[in-house]
Amino acid sequence: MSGGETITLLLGLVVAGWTWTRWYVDLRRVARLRRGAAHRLAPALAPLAAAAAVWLILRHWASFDVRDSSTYLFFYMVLGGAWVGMVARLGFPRLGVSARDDALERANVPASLAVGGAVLGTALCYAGANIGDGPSFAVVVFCAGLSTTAFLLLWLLVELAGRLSESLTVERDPGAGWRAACLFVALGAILGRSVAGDWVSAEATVRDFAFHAWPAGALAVGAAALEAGLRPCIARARLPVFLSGLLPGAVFLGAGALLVLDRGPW
Amino acid sequence: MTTTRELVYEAWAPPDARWSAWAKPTLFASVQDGEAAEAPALLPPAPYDVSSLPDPASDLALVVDLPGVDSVRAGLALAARGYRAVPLFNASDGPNAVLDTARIRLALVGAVGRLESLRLPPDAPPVFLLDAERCEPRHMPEPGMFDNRWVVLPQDFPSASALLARGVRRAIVVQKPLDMLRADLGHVLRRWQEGGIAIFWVEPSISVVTPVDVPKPSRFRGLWYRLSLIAGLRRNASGGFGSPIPVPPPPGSGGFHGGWG
Repeated sequence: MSGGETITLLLGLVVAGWTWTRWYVDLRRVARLRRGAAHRLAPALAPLAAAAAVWLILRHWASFDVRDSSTYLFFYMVLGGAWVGMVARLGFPRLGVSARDDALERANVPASLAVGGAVLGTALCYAGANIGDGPSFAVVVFCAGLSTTAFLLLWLLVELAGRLSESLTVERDPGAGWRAACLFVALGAILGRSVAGDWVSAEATVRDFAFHAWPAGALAVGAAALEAGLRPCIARARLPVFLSGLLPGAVFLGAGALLVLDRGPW
Repeated sequence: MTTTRELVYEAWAPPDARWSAWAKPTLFASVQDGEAAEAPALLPPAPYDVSSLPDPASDLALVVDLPGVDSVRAGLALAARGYRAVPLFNASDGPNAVLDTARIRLALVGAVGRLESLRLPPDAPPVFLLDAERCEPRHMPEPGMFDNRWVVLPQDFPSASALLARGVRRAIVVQKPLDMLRADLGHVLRRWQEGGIAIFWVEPSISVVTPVDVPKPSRFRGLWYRLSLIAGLRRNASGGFGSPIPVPPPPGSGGFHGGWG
């Protein structure tokens, strides 16, 4: 490992260790008097599922010098842990949903579903950046930055146009929880796929990204319209979760999977 | 009475009660096993006498925003009339605390026996309990103190649609005489008003229920309203608010003395 990689690894260990230790300590300590564990399930399992997804992608589709090297597999897992941890800690609350404040402290199951989906979506953004051959970890950071920034901007779009956080944290609408979770996973899959491939240049990466990622924007616009239309209000009774959450969520996931399959190998 | 924090919390937030999901466990987490407390007087003192408030009705919710333990007393008096008291106190207790939440906690513990004897139905109309001094303490926070100031957010209350779905059409805010509507509560009530809930205000000493047009507060529905509101407050590691304010070190010693709540 180079000097830069060693410093990055140490920094990543500190950041990943701090963010995920705090995450799981919060899961154990915050609002323990509340009954039930449903609101803790998604925040507890999503990071593990995200780690498994990143590991599988690294092991099978990362650069040839990474997938067979335990040192580099560890390095990119740590980097991913730090990446997703920082986004979850600093990004999610600024978009209106907090793992600690909403999912745990208020035992808000819809918010916890959304947080779980957002952790997975962010992890897929990062995992996609590891697919293909590249000269150094800097290109992984560049690609992950591209996909993750797009992910957060599209979330912001859904928030501003559809007031997603209102549905999740104030209305505590279960349908919104499932919609958001599935949307985030679908966006992560599309955006992760959009930065996958062998490295050529920064310009080519951005060009490819724009070509592959635009359906994610369309999906976010559709989700924002759906959010505004389905939020419980005085004029509209709350729909059954299957109709308002699971069905649209399945459509989001299906659209994401179809788009990734349609793009084919990188 | 000897009790545990779980038993005390469940007395105030029974699992089968309609509004228990909104009760805050924060202050109950400070209850010590075996903690004894004298039952507080059932009726709140004048000028906070709530005996003239409307009788419980399925379309009515109350928000009691009175100082400290008087809020608990009012809640208990209203519970005796058939309301479900929902404590929203979201601050921890600690040594040298800015807010005297210990008295609130003791009142909550002391009221358990009385509360359980009332056998309220699960769908009893709610009375949400707040501490009017939550962000206006009598003592200004200083280094070395336990800063447990707190605020309420729209996320702490049922939404207007959730209230309407449960049949609630009116909300009455109970405040002390000459008190202004607090800005944080204004964000909640304005949402309710826009959602179709009629808002009223009552000063217990006068007992005249007055309709209120809640003005739109600044940063209403703002994306970063919550973050900006809690930015100056101290969180507690177990949830809610409250942790020590670090003491600046003596010159030349380096580091801060303090800790996490």
